[in-house]
Amino acid sequence: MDVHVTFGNKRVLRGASLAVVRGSLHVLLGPNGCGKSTLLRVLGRQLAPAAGSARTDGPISFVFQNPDHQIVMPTVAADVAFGLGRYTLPATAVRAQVAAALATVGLAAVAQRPTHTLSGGQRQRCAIAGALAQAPKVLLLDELTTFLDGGDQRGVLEAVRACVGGPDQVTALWVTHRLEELAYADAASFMDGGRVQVTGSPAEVAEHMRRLGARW
Amino acid sequence: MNSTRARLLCFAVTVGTSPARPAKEPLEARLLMSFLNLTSVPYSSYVPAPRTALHDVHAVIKQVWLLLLLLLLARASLGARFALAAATAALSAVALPPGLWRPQLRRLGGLAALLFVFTAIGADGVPPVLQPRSVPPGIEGLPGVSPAAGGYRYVILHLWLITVTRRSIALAVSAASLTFVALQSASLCLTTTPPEELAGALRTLLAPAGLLGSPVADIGLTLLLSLRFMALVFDEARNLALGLAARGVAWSQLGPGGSLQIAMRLIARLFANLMLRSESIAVAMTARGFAGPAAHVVHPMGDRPSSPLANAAALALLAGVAACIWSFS
Ligand SMILES: Nc1ncnc2c1ncn2[C@@H]1O[C@H](COP(=O)(O)OP(=O)(O)O)[C@@H](O)[C@H]1O
Ligand SMILES: [Mg+2]
Repeated sequence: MDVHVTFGNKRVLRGASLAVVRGSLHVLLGPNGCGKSTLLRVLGRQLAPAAGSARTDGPISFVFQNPDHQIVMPTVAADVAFGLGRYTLPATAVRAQVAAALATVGLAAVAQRPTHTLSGGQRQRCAIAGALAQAPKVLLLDELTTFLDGGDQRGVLEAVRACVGGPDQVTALWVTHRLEELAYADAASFMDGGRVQVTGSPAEVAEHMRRLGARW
Repeated sequence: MNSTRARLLCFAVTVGTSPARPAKEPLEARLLMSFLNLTSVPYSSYVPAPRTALHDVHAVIKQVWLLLLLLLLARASLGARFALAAATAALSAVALPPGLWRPQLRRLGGLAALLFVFTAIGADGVPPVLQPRSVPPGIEGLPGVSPAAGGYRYVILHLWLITVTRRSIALAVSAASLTFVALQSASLCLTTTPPEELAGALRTLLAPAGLLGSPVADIGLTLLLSLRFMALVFDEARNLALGLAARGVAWSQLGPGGSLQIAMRLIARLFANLMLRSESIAVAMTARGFAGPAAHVVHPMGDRPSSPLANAAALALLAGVAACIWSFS
């Protein structure tokens, strides 16, 4: 709600407003440096805005661009279980949760593989499974496909699609600068200059960007 | 007829392609290339499939094996040391698929052989610089020391500058076998045990120290993180080396001082990059709910528990080997 963030004397968010439908996959587009990551950090409570407020469901899980930094355990299944390490849960509950998360992102077959032997897309999906195992209500996903090729990109998007909705009404906010990923969205927003310029259906946002002359 | 043609051809080839001898690359460039040619991390990591008998042994038993093997090696006679090294190699060959044990043993065998040769030559090869304190026997009118009965000779080989003695051979066998057994047994353990179970076993074995206030959880987590991020460190070093290779440094013009300077700058860059990465990793770990090793449970997610049969066999074998070495030394 009208979030303002200032770093030093640089105004990064100038009244950004964003409403996301619960249980949907919402794509947030925008040029580099327009404040998308900053907005995510405000939503994830990692950053307190100078003015304005954020209201979201909880718990929230983050997934960042580089899976190499988020995967912290040597084996896939153990890494997915890492986020559960702060709770004292019975082993069977942990196993069930990890197995479900791995199945959702399509990595059940490589559960026992060392994480450094996975492909880039598999690593990204492993990071998503790690976030998913914590049973979040909101997934904040920041430019996951920037370094991926077509096949891996589709795999990751389908994994996120599989996470969204369901009985828990999981909501995903997907930040990207690849226009073609709108095809997977329920709704979308376009951000520029520290403000959300337009929010609507993927087709509407695509149309808006075409008018702006985007050539992606 | 035929032979003249062949000779002509041969001549043509030698003349036509006479600059066939390539300019000798400087050492720095060759070192860089050999590092870049390493296709994978030069250490062993867990290989889940195919599942071998060693996968079925509990991690705690494997670690006890490792520890006792080194203790036994220290106590064993020369022959037994050699036998233990051979047994370790044989076990690797039997337990692991050829694609795994062949390169492992080739690398490590080379290292052990190198160590053997250098120790054998170097350990006793330098003549003592001390003056002899005793008068030579000839002056005192005594007969020289007669050769020992049974053909005992201290100096086994003496060729120009190379001297190999009994002591240097014993040292060489010890150094080579100790290195080989220590590294290869650890490698066997690493390839057949998930790192999370290794860390769990380490915590179990260190539990008594934990009662005395040792940070057992920290040690276990450190082991896990180093096993996880070793590949990342290697990749980072590789990327820097690639950048260096792409710049095409004229090594021969730089000289050793310049090369050293480049190497130092590269190492500084490596550490700076690794620091940045570890910061990102720390942020991600915190975002995933990590609040210190003591407060964090590492859930082992292995899909199969160890087999009681394999555990019993491993323990029995351990007892047998220990008894053998003990009684023969
Ligand atoms: N911690 C920070 N301190 C200072 N400036 C920052 C910080 N984080 C981001 N910025 C600046 O804020 C702007 C928006 O950054 P960001 O939200 O990462 O953009 P995006 O993710 O849309 O590319 C950029 O100009 C960036 O330089
Ligand atoms: Mg960003």
